Amino acid sequence: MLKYHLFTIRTLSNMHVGSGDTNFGVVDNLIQRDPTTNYPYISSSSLKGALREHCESNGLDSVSKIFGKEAKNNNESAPGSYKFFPAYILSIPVRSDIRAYFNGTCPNICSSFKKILDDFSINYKFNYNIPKPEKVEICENNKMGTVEGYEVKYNNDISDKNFKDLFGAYPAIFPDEIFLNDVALNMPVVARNKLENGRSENLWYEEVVPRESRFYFIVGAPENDSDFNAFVESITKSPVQIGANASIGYGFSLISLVSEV
Amino acid sequence: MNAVEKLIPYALEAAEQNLAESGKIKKVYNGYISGFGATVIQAGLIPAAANLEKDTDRTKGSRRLIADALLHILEKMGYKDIDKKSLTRTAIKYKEKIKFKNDILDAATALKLAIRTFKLED
Repeated sequence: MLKYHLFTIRTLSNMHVGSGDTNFGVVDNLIQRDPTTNYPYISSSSLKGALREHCESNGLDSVSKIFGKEAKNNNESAPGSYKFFPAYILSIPVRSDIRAYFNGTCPNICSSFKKILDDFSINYKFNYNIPKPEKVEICENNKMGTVEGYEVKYNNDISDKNFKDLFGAYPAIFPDEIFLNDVALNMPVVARNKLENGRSENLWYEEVVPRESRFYFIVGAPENDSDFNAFVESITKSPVQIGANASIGYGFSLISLVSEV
Repeated sequence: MNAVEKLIPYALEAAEQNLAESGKIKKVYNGYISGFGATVIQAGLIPAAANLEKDTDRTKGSRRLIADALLHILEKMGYKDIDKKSLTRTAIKYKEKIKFKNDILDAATALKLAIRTFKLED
C-alpha cells in the first residue's frame, strides 16, 4: 500500500520546463501549463526525470527501485515502486510598490491544494478559511500601496507562520479571475539571441517561471519503505535542477518535505 | 476548431496584402511579430500596440505594417469598432475586455505562423 507525501518546491532561479519546441504560441518557447487550470505546472515525467538525475548524481543506491529500471543492453525495464505526481503552483511572485514582491496566490489554488490533501489522505493540517477576496489581500497591516497595480486590503488569516512557510513570506491573495489573467497567464518572457560575428542569427522568446515561485507535489511511496528517508535526504539537501537551460542557471530549486512521514 | 487554426486563412491574406512582395517577406517581420507577443505579455496590450505604430523606413521593414495586418485579421474576426489607422486606438476602445486581448494574441500567433509559410529574405 502506498503512503502519500507532500513536498514543496521553491525556485531559486528562473525555470523553463518547456511544453515542447512547438512555436504554436504567441511566445516561441512556452512553459508547461496545467491543462485544467492553465496555471504553470511541472508535468510528472519532467519532475520525475529531474529527481532521478539528481538522485543518480548524489549516488543514491536505490534509484532503480524508486524510479524504475531503464532498458539497457537487452535488460528488461521495470517500473519504479514510487509514484510521482505533477507539481502544481502554490504562489508566484508579483510586483508591488510596498515591497519588492509579494507571493501571489488565489482561492482556487488554496482550495485545490486542500482538496488534494484530503483526496490523498496526506498528514498535513491546512486549516485556513479560504477567502473569496474582492480586492487583493495581503498580510501586512497599515500598508498603503498596490500589488500588480491593484489596491490592497489587510487579511489576518494569511499572517500565520505555516501559511507563510507554504506560500512564501509575503502572501497576497488575488481574486481568481485577476490571478489567472494578470499573473498566471502573464509569466515573464526572456529574449534569447544567437550571435554570429556580432550579428543576430536567431532571436527567440522564452517564457519562464520566475525565481521565488512555489509549487507542491506528491510522491506515493510504499508504506514504511526503508529507502524513503534516504530518498528525501537526497532531494532536499541541495538544490535540484528542473527543466531546461541548466548551463545558464535555470531551474535550480529547493525541495522540502512538508507532510509528516 | 482551435482559435488560431481558424485565423490562419485571414492571417495568410493579411500577410499577402500587407507584408509580402513577390511571394517573399522580409525576415525582420518574423522578429517584429514574435516581439509583439512578448511585449503584450510583459508590458500590456496598449504599449505593445503603440510600439508597432512607428512608421519607419519601409525598405528595411516597417512595424506599422504588422499593425495593419493585425487590424485586417481583427476585422475579419468580426470586430466592428476598428480604427483602421491605429491598432493603439483600437486597443484602447477594448482595453477592459480580456477577450479582446486574447483574440489579438491569437491573431498575432496566426500571423506569426502565416509569415513562416513565405520565403523569408534579409
